[in-house]
Amino acid sequence: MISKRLLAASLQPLMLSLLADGPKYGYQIIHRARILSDNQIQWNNSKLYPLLHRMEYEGFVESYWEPSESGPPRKYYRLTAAGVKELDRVKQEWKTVNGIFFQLWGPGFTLE
Amino acid sequence: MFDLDKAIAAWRRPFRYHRGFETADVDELERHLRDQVYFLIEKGMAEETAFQEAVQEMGGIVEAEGEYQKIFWLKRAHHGQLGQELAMRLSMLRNYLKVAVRKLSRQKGYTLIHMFGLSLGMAAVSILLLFVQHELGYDAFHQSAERIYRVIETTYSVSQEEHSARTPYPLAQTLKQDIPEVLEAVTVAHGRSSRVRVGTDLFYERGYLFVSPAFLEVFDFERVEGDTHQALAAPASAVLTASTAQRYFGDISPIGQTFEVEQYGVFTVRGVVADPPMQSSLQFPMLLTLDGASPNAADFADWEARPRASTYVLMADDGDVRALEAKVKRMMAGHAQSSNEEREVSLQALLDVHLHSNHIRSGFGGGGHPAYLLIFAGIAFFILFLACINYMNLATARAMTRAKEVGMRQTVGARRGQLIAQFLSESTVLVVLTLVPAILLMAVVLPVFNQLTGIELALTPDALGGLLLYLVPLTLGIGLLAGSYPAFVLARIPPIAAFRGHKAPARTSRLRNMLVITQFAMAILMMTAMLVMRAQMTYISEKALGFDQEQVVVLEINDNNVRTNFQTLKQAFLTHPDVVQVAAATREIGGLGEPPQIEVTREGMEVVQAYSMSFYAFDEDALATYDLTLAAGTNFSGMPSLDSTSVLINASAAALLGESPIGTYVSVNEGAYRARVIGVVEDFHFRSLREQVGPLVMGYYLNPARVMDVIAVRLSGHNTDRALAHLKNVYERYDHRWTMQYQFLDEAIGRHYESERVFRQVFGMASIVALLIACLGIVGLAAFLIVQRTREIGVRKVLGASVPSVVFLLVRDFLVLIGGAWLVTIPFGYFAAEHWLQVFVYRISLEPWLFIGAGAMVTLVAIATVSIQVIRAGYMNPTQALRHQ
Repeated sequence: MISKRLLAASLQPLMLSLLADGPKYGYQIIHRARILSDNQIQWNNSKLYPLLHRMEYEGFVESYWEPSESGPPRKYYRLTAAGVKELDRVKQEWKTVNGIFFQLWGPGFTLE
Repeated sequence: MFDLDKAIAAWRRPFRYHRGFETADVDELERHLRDQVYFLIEKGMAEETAFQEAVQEMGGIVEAEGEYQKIFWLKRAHHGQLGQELAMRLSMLRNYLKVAVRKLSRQKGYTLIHMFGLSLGMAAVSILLLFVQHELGYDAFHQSAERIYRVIETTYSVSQEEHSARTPYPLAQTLKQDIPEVLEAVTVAHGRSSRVRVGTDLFYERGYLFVSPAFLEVFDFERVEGDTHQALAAPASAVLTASTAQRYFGDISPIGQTFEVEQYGVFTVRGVVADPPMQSSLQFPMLLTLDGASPNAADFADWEARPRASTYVLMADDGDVRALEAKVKRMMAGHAQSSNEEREVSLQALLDVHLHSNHIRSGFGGGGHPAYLLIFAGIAFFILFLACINYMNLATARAMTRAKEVGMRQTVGARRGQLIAQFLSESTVLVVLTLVPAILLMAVVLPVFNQLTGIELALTPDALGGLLLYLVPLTLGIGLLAGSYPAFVLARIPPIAAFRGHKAPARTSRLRNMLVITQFAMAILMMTAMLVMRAQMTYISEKALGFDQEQVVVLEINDNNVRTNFQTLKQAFLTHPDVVQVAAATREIGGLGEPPQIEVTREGMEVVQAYSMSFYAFDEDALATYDLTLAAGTNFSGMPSLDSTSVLINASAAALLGESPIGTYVSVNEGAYRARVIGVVEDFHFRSLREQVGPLVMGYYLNPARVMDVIAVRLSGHNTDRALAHLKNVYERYDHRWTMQYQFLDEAIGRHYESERVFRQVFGMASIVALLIACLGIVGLAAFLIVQRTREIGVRKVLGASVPSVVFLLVRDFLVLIGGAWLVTIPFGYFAAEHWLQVFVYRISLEPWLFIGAGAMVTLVAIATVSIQVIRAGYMNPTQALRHQ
């Protein structure tokens, strides 16, 4: 179980990253994230959608609706230019932090 | 058959009721749900199960809403709708207020009435509480107030228990020397009313004090000039109060100046202190060093001398008063005078002096009545409670009429929360508005109150702040409480029911009736209490004191010359046609000074029994001057040779001394003086009516025990000014140093009962306020009830009923309520009155008319009010009434 705080801190970077390779709709994003984490992390939908919305209000993503054959339309999200920049920034942050831990926890400790 | 779309639609519905979700958001979530369902179906799950799983996985609305709420403002900002949102919020608030105000102004009539009632209540409560606070704070201004005590001596004799604050002179010093916990001990003695000569000016001072040097160390009187800590160190020094300094020396500095005090000598001013504040039990125009009290230094070391002064001690920080008291007792026992009376010594806290000294004689301070304070505080809450009930009645009543409005609102989509908010805000607005008139009222009434009570209560910013501190939460509390009934109860009524004219459940109208009865009961109780108190006070003030206090002037004797020439003086006085009688006495009677106590033993009895009795010395005309009645035996003859060994006794004394006391001999103070009883006088109140008449011995003024101190002169009542001038003329022929000092006996006695009179007035005012508030409540209630039954009245009229008969009908209902209230109050009132009256030695008996009278008054007011309202409604056009809803 990952601590709530760590989870909270990584949520946004996670979202940004998942959108890096193209626009997705909400369910897609969450589904993929679940697979990635091997179901280790508990996803609460109620936190995810508002987060996406927040990111939209902050300007990192933008949304649009697309009709679907299987029912009501879906809301898609994609990264904005600002979002791409933010993703880079976040990557740098994590690299820095990783570096420190790598030094502390020794070469024997791999982020495999 | 499971229908996915229907199931999803059902799942969607609750979202509508939660403000945080926009339609788009819910669409998004629904889409998510569907995707999940399809995913699960593909995995092989059945549709229904898949749906349920998906819903589970989705999570609850409530937590979700929390998250959505968090980004609410962000969302608004993103859409550029911040301004809009704020505007909308503001306009909603403005709407509430507008509605509230509109509602209120439409019912201006009894809204104002109830507001006024509440303001009145708050003002009254505040004033009373200020007063109570004032009384409780006496002497607290001294830094070490909690550690200052005074020594009280209690004497137990056969007939009574006496508490005195008078202690032997040497006590203070010995306490300080012998007991380590006593940091300081000071002696405080009363100076006799004297003439003071400053240069060529003459003043008359009373109430000044002789004190030990450490007085200003123990007590913190504000220094104005000079080194007050050292001021009393040197002998024959004086410390003046600011006003005394102003009187004696004007604007020049009094330090170093001297003045002469008759009988005591010359003193040098060494310091000036501010006038003692009103809340000080020690009041004085000046302080003189103790050594000046007597020219004979040995007096101060004399344990046996009649106690003359009060002793105050300052206890160490870590001292324990019980332990200290025990030590003091032991020490006193060591120096005890022998006597056959039991004596007990105790310590009284300085902070208790003002309120708890009424049973203690010869001390400083006192005059506060804790019983009265309790009553005042009780009255205050009583009034406030009344006003609150009023107010709640109002809110409840108005709520009823608005059931329909509530239904309407709900139909149009108002949420419960909004309704509640509206009712609460209305109610609170109203209550807060009452604060302003309350404070204004207070400001206006306070000076009147001060005048009546002689107390200086000030509405200082400080005091105001303190009051607001409890007034504001109080008003908010009342507002919320009163508004909560309509808010919560009404808002729950389903809209349809409200439309159908849903009447509140019987439970609530019973509640309302209970409230009304309570109000009436309280009003009746208050009136009853007021009637009882007035009756008692009048009884006391008019009670035959046993002597005639009117037209009697009492002159103080300040010069021995007057004493020696008394007979001549007397004859000279009597030459004026309007001087009726002249007599000599040791003291004024009537409870002003206190008579000295002597021990009396009847001679020739088998069992030798000594009694403590009061003593006055008179001359042969005293009985006539005071108009006392001789029950048996004879008066003084006027021949000193006979009279100097004769005494008169009063009936109480005669009862103690045994059968036929006339002609027997009594021995006074263990043989110091021996006299024959020549007559018995009927009991009269030589002391306060607060105590029972004790035994009294009256000797002739030329006896060895006491010397005369006053001359009592009975005037005819005509030409009083000229008679007085004549007296003055004659008097000053014999007293060359001082002018004649006199007072009228009835005025002096009146002042003695000042506190009772004041109390009576304040209480009278308070009851009127309470009654007023109760009436306001009745008016409002009557109005409301009438409104409710307007339709009924209209119908009755249409059916042919006359207005008076309708009036009668409604009034009758009211009467039932009042009757109920009355029944309830009678036992309470009786019990309370009995209890209160026990405080008095002489008291009235509780007559039924007191209770009936109160009830009758309230009933009358109620009937009058109701009738007016009903008549007004009655004359309304019946069709209007029927239309009215």
